[in-house]
Amino acid sequence: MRNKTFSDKKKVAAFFVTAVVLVALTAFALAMYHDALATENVQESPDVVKVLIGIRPSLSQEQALEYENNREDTARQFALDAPNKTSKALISFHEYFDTEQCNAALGEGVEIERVFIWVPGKEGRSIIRVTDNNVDSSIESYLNSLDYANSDDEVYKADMEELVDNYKIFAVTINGTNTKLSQLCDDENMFVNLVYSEPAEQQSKDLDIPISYICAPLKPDIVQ
Amino acid sequence: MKKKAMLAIIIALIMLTSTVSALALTGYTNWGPRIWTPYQGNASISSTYIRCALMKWNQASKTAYGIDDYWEFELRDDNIHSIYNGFTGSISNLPYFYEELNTTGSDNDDISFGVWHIKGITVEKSYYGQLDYGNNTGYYNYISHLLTFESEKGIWGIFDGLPTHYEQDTNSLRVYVATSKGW
Repeated sequence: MRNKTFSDKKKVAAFFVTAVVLVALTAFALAMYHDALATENVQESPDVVKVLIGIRPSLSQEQALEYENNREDTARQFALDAPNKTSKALISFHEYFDTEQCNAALGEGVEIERVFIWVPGKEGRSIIRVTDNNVDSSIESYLNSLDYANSDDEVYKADMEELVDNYKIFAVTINGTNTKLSQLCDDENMFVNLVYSEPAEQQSKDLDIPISYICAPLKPDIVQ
Repeated sequence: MKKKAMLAIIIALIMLTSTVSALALTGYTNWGPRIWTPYQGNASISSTYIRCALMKWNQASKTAYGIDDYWEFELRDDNIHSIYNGFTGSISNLPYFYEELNTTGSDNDDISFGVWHIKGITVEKSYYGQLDYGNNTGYYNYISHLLTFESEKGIWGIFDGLPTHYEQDTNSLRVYVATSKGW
């Protein structure tokens, strides 16, 4: 009886030690794994299909030109398939425009959503929502709304002071019929890039996750 | 004997649960800033803007970024589009700057601005980025509401971008009450 009790105690002790060792090993493994993730903060499951509407930085000049041609071919194809359907496009101008030149270049029959402006030759940009299809008043209204005079960020303040009198337009996003967008493709002063990606739309459907188009127009300068 | 065995199992389970719980509370939400984030900056909010200013990157970060990497500053909350509505414009001295306000297909929980070619930044230059909301009234319906801000780095693939790293500050910005956080 005494021996049996002693044996039971040994078994309990062995069980307990085994349990503690197992827990310690599991915790250590989890800690190592989690620490690795924490250090890197790896995001394992994207919750959105994010699409760059613009030229990927790693593309060569040749590849970039090919990309532009392909994108405009897609716009032309859209016009053949569904001429009256409205699509959204990012228009990048090959030179800086003032508001009059911008309106003249786009012509009639487009709804302007965003206008991209900045001081030529300087790094940065401002992206402004256009209301009532009026680029001029939308820019003026936005810049007037900024309380930069009281900012303690001197870089921002200096940029704003320069921008209000010296801005130029380098891109817009617009809605227009596919026919209209196709016509704009014939203008050598601009690059028409549909805000659309067939494979991305497909992936969005397949994975049942939203899609986000990032409009990324290059400025006519080397400085972006 | 059985009681002792049960006790040992219970103790073991408690230890395991506590360890996992402790681990689950760390990691993804802690703010560095690590190499993928500007080493200094100041995130701020008001009823009319979301801003991150005085941002500086060091040479180690610039070197670490790949040519097709992007970076984003995000403000996150389940109600973010109720807190901020009526976007009027965005502005930044960051190169390759973009805005990401809405996604289609379902609700989303963040408003962001970013840099689609983050390797193009200049080391030690002071950068700012700002999203503006004119007559935004939603903000005042969420006074004291805690918001999360996040630094995210990702990479552009053939047609889409994949987030790869992020870090979050979940405890600093409260609507109207605590409106800026520097690091």
